[in-house]
Amino acid sequence: MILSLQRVAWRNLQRNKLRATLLILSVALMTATLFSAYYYLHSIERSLDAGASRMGADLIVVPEGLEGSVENLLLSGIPTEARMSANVVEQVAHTEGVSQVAPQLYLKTYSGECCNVYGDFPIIAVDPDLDFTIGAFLLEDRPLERGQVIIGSYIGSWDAYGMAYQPHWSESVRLLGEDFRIRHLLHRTNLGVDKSIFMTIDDARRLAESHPKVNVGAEEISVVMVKISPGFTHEEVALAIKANLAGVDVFMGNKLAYYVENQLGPIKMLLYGGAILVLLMTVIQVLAIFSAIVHERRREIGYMQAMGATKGRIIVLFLWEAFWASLLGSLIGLLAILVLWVDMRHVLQNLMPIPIKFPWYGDGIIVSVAVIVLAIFVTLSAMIAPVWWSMRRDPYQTVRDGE
Amino acid sequence: MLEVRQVSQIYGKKERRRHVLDRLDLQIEAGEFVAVTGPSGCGKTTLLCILGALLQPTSGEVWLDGQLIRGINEAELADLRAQKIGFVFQFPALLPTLTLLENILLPLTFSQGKGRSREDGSRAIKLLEQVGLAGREKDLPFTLSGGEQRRVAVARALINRPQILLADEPTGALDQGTGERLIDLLETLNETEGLTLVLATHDALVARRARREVKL
Repeated sequence: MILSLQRVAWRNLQRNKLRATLLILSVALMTATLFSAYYYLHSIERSLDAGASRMGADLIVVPEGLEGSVENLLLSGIPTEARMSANVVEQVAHTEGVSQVAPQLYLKTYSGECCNVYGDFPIIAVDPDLDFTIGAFLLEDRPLERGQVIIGSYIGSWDAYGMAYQPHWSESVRLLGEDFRIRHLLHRTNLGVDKSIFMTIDDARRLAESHPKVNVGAEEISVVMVKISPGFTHEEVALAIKANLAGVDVFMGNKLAYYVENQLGPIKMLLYGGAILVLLMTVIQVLAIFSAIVHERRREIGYMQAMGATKGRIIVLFLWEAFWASLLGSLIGLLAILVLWVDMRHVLQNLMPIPIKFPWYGDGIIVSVAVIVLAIFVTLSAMIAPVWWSMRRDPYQTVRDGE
Repeated sequence: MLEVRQVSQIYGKKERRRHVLDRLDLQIEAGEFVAVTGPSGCGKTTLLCILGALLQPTSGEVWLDGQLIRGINEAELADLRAQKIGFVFQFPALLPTLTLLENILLPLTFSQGKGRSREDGSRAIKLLEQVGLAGREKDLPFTLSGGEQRRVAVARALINRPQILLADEPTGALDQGTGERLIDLLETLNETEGLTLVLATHDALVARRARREVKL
């Protein structure tokens, strides 16, 4: 027959079920909030990294004289009619310090309906073999093929966001008299990208050939996104490109990341502030609940001492009680929030005002363990004070309390 | 075995000072059955707590088995209580979510970290039989009457094989019949096992059962 302190503590927790439930719920709420806050911000940070490697390519090569509209092109999605020769791509690629190039071509703005959403949607062509921009914001990794388009989240609308994951989902859009199957959606970015339609550069050239009004030359492109090799600075490579190529301008491509990061500042502060507040509130709640528990059992504490229990052992008993409550609470809170995140991730992605790229499961496990440890630590810390306070008195006094 | 020399206990400060015990001398031999009597507030519980090392007297000395109970640290005091002294309080204070057997084993858990050996379990079952509650090991305290709970508290106090059992108003709030049966039990333990028994009571009938009465 083993009657350990852990077992006594576990049974003690069941003495007042309502209070134990409230205690466990407090911890569960704290755990869920901490996990959400951290996981959400971690997701956004991952998304920012992806963003930096997207339109925020290290450098962006544009036709000369485009200065005023390059930010519009990058951030608001307002397209530019200025174009340059496709030969630029190869020349840029051969410049020292350049590791990757991805050309983009603005075809035209489509005005009409797509996925039950009406509006003006710029059509941007990318080279699926070279592109490193859209991939970072694809909801699922599926290659873009001939006759297919990828649409921004705004065009996708709520319905498409929910449906895009269904295997039977099939939607098409008619562009310049030709039907294109919608291959997939992009994450929400709150940028012009959300209202853009992306197709392959081959499809764009074919459409341009058959529609003279489109006015795109056979070998023209709008911009070249550039990634630089490690060991080179942005300035060095930009200067090298400018020196090799006439008729182009080169811009630093990290403006998108800065833009989103600036937008994120207050949200981050709010989230962290909220998490800290919840943490403090839980500490106060746990303190209040444990104070009540200890007060109620103060005479029992005296009896325990009479039975030969040292102060240390009594504290350990109460700590075990707090441990069980916090372990149970944190597991319940985590389970609930994980179910919510996993089950509602697509809806959450669409609801959030900024793009979200969820971490992989390993990260989730690490965060979960860290949150459980923190919840247990906080609860145990909140338990120590009232128990210690009650132990300061003589056993005799605690025995006689309430008589 | 137990000796009290010039023990005084004062509660409160300045004008609120109250002498509860005043230079008390008392000697209790091993195997004695002593009743401490007196009106409410005379210091019966205080004396029991001093004898049980739960309270350090304001002045005076208490010797247990030739050892002075003063100036020893908290762990040694706890060890002393666990090894030599059993307490039965006016309120049985059984843990409501533990079975009767687990409640009896509780002092072992507190003194050793856990009550674990088969021997401990067997002793607890035997004690339960001794207090007339055989077969009810797995019952929870709420299924017991007040008198039965008090008997479980006696069994719990005996699990560590103490040399001395201190009982504070053990029959308080019990009807006369139940109270008498509890005293029968304590008397039997005193007679058969040589357990030193010190009992605080304001009940003259209970005091009469003791071999010696100490009036405060």
